Amino acid sequence: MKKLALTIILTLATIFAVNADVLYLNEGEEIVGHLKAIEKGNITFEELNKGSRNFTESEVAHILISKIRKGDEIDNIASITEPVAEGILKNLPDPSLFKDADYVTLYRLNDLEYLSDDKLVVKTREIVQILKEPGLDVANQSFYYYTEREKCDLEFAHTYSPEGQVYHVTDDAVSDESLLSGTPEFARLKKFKMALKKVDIGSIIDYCFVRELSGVDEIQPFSMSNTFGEREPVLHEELSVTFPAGMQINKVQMQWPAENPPKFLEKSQGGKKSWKWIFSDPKGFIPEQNMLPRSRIFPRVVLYQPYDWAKISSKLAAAYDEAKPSDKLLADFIARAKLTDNMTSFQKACKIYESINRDIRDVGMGIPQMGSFKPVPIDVTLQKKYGNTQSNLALLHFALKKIGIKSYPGFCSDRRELVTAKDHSTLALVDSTLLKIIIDDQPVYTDGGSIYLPFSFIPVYLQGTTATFHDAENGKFFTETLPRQTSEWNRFDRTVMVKILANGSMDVQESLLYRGPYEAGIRELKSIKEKEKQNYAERRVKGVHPRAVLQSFGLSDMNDLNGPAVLTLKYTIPEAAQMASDKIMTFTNYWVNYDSGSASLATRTYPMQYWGTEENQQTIVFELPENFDWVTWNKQYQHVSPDLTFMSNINQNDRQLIYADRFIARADEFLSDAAYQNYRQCILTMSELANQWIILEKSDKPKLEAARADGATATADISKGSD
Amino acid sequence: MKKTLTTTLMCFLCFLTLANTGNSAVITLSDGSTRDVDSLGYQDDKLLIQTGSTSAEIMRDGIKNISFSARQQNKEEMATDSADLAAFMPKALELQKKYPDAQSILVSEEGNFQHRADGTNLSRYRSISYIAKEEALWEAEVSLSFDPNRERVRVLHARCLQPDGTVHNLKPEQIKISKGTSGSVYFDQYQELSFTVPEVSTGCIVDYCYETEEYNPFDPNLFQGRNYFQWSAPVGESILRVSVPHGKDLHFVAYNCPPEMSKPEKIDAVDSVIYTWKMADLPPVISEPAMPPYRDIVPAVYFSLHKDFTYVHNKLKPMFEKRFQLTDLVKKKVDELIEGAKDLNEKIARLYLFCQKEIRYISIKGNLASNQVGHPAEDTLKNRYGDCTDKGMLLATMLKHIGVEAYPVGVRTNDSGKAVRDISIFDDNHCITEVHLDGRIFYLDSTATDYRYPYFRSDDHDTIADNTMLGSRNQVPLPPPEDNAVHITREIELQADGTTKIRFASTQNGSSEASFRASARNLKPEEYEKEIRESVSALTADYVLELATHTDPLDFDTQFKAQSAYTLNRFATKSGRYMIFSVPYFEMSFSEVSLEKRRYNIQYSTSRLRTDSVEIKLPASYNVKFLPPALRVQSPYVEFEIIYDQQGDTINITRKIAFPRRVVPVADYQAFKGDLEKIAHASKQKIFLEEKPSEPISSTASATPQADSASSSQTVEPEGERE
Repeated sequence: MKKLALTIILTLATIFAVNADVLYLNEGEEIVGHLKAIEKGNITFEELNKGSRNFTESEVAHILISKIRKGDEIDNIASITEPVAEGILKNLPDPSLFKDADYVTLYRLNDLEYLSDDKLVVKTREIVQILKEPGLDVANQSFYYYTEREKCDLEFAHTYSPEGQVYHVTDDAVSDESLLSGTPEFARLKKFKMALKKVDIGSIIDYCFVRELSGVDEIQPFSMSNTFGEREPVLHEELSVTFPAGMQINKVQMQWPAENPPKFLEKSQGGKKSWKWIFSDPKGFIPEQNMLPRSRIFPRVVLYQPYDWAKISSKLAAAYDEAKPSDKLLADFIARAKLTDNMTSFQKACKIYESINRDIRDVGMGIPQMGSFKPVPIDVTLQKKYGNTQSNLALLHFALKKIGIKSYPGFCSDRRELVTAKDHSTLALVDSTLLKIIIDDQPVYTDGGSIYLPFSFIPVYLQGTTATFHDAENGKFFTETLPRQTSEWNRFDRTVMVKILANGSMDVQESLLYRGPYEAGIRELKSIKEKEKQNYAERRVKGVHPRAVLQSFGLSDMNDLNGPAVLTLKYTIPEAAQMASDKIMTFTNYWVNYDSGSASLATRTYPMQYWGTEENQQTIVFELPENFDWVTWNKQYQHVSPDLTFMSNINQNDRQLIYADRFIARADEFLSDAAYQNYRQCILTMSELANQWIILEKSDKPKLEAARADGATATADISKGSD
Repeated sequence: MKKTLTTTLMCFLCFLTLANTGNSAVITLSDGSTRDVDSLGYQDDKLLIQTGSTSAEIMRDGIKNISFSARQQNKEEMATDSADLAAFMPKALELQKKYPDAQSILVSEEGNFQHRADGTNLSRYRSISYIAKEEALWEAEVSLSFDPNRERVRVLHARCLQPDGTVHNLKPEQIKISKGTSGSVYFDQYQELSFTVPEVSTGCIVDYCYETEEYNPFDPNLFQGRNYFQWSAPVGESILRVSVPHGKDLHFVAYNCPPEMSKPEKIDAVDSVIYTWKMADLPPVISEPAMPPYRDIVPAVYFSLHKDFTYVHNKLKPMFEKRFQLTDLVKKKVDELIEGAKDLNEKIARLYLFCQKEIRYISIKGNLASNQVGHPAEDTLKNRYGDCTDKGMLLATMLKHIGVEAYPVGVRTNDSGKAVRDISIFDDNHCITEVHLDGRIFYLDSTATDYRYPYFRSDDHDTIADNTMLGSRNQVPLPPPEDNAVHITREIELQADGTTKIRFASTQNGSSEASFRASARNLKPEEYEKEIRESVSALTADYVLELATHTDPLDFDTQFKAQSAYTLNRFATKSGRYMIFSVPYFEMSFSEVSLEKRRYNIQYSTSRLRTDSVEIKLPASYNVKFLPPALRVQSPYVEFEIIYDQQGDTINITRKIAFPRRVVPVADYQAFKGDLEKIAHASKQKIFLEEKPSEPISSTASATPQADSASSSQTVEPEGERE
């Protein structure tokens, strides 16, 4: 009986599923069907609905064989016996319940099973109904997996049509692709992608893939983070983990208790322990402008295998030791950095940092893409002149060690991540590398930087983050919170001198000084051609006013990464001011263009994030035409609070109208309504100022003193409330 | 010099005599590994293979591909002779002096294309570039795409010459062949050969040479190619050599070449004719905004065995006919779709919409047929996915069923340069549908998912369509600006305190409508409202949104319309007794005229029109002090008119701007720039109101209540000002 069933299944499989082989003829034609036989140089191929055809091998370039996957023998929904699909398809919800949704996830399973300490299997299955056209994209899926340590298999991918038919993915729409094969030491990740067949509005797609990961250990750790809650409705989401009863697995539940928490179930059976979270949200959420990451808002589960820090240290030390550069290559490299005895330690470190960034191309594969904390041997980096952040920082570490400067390799996550290695003993929770360097007993940090950023600049995403550093000598790790500093790093200063002519034209000299992330943007100019720089400057002044004409521009030495990055522009703006009459001249302050787009919501549902802490300052000096005086605003624009400060003033002083402002953001997350309202108020103040027009009125009085005596000033007392 | 020339020619002649070798078949297994086999048989889902004296059996599930044409990649040692390399360093340094701002310099490149008597093709390319700046280090990484069932790529050498004369050679084992990665909707049979030239740093010369042998061409008479001589890096010398056997004609065209360079040097060799084009000392191309694609501005040579398209059309026509089959399934679907349609236009519109919306974009390429012609109409209908060729074929086939003559036709989209039509080469990158109806021809593009019938994608406009089935070529017209229009009306009520109430409505057609539909359909109603809030709040955060709605973006029976109504509290700037009012979103800027001078034409995607109609009700307590003057601009490239008309307490503004042409020649740039700057300047002009002296300001215009915030600040508005 069993044999008969198997025969029937195999026969059905032959009929329905394998008609997706593709035979490619040498002359360019291609035929879809089923490969029947190859014998003595003759090929028999059954063309779909057209019977068998014969070809000689010399006519055929190649034949693509389509794999038969689980369930490919079934061609209609009524025949489905697999319990999950069957159950769901028999109890489909009314799509009108989700009127604004693009698709609804009917079922999602993330099933993690630890087979042993170093081996695990993750099975992912999704059953999704497409409700609107934008939802069709769900029918194209990609998964990434590690080339060396992981096997990835698509178990099946079916489409259930509204008419009751079942369709299956075919291998002409499946691709298993390599990333970075030109730099093989870093080609650790592959992409598996597929496009499901016959997906219409109303169709249901059902796919499942399995990843088997081996070699999991202290420095190739694994963790899983699952956030429950998304834009589209989810009717059943299940996160499951099974592990041997004697094995320790930690779970972290964030944003818990929540309004709609997943239901947690725990079970022990047959020497195995399992945890399960089941979640449902038939509504989905509406994203908000600048909201915090989902993982900070909705219920989240993080699973990981804890390790002993001492063991992690010992393995990591061994890995770094194994990766360390050969003496000769390292000495050659240091020699190329041209260090001299009269340099300070900081200058030497700068030089090495700059040499690495100049000579070694970063291939852009971070630890998550490599799947390991073992650095690629530094000799590869030195010889092939490419590396990733970790190998470049390891090179910096060894080079500094060689010249007697102490440094500690470190690891961290984005500053907004709250589940960190500080509280959890695994490296699986960090995804970035950095280095702590001790120079003259002072700590200096770098994430590797770039050819456009100075040594010791900490990028915005790491400012204030918690980092874990490895002290290999003492076999331990220590954690630190990285500095967060506005006045030094994220800073922009502008000075503009504007001479207003009697006809409303303006002669402008502008000087812009960048520090921090803005700095990289301007330093990139060093790489482009002179004519392109000219074009950049011309376009830049056109951004101030469409009629602006560039006279000249200049840049500070952009190769000196420790020096200021300054751009100067000299330009004219014909008829910049509007002559409302022969006695009234008016214009907006073209250099003040704050807008309040980021504070569009009167109230928020979700907490807000700001890009970073920062400080910006600008001074604009208008030289007024003879006998024209500023018509006062009689308003002050300022906002002072612990999180945000904006101060401005404008004042006529003889022939000069002087405007100055300063904005400081000391916080980059606004978690409460009060904090957001404070942000909004500050932005409102700034945008209102930006909308303000400057009006100059021609006075019959020859002297200006009279105007001054009228109190033509609106200077705010900026000292009040400031830090 | 003579010696170098002789050596080069000898190398080229040797290269012409290379012969083919190969195996019986190459089997790709499901894990991606390959096996070369001497013979094979296939029966009952089992593959029997024999290699030497060893035989094995592989089940169908373990096979991915059987290739009868793939040749084993030669594992021979690569050339290490670098005798000629040192001579390039002085030349590189000389060029660097001339172009000191270049990131890299293409010192020399040479492309050799050989069509052999047996119909196979061989090409060899050598590139020698100088790395002047760190930003060019990526040039060490080389990736070459090829079809393993038809082509064989062999790296002849890849090396780096250090400034000190040291040469580092690439080793064969450092060359990797894998399936490269592409976007999630693209599937093909190509492989990627990649490597990184070792030890490349600034000041080095990177020299590599590879050969591609097309041992299994689709057609022994299809030999064609192209070569571009200028890039964003300066070029020292660029050589193209093409050889064909005696008795075969080579047709070629040269674009943007100096007259003396456009004709090749022709040499009669023993068994072939060699054509050589050589160019030297080409400056880098400096990018400009809205410039034409590179290939339209740099010197280029295209060549083919065929002067006209007859041969190619004859080759492809049977493939078209095979796919252009009106099967029962297609007929049934068409009948279902057109049911109840009132006229032929509505039927066409429904079929167009079906192919646009319900055939998901997935591109599966494998052979000449799918590359150039696509898949059979019925397959696309069944799969519910396809690319431009598949959609074009399906729509044409469906239209046939309702008696409308239509064809899939090839175009080169206007953002990719002009298609070469002077000789026969495959130069199209897109497929659309050509409809012949009532004596006129028009075009539809089913890949454009948001265009309402009869509009189609703007990058198809002003191209030349190649109709293989008819053997004809027709101009795809540039629609008039009225077919890509945005019409905006605003009713504005301005209050004495500057508060501005706005009712906004817009309608669109053509590409503009498609763009609005695309953004609207991807947003849920609440998200759309949030977007509008973000946009309005960029004007001022102190606003009230009363309405933000649009018609259904998925309803293609009616024109898309959007409406909003909002109040901007105290929006108009007041300064003393003056009030300045600017219509929101009225300013225009034109980045394409940001440069003082241009070298290249301005090229738009298509024509366009925008009209604005604004009615402003003024507050009773204010007089109009200044209304901006009317402006009219009329040129072949831009038509503009703005009129301000005051009638009592109402100001009416009408504005129209149209760009009737797609290309503005550089010769007319200054005039065009002047016109656009005038227009931009006019758009910045404000309305200036003055408070009537006798009337007090309405006391209802109190300041917006401040939110209860943590802030100590607010916009200070002295009480006394209103009195």
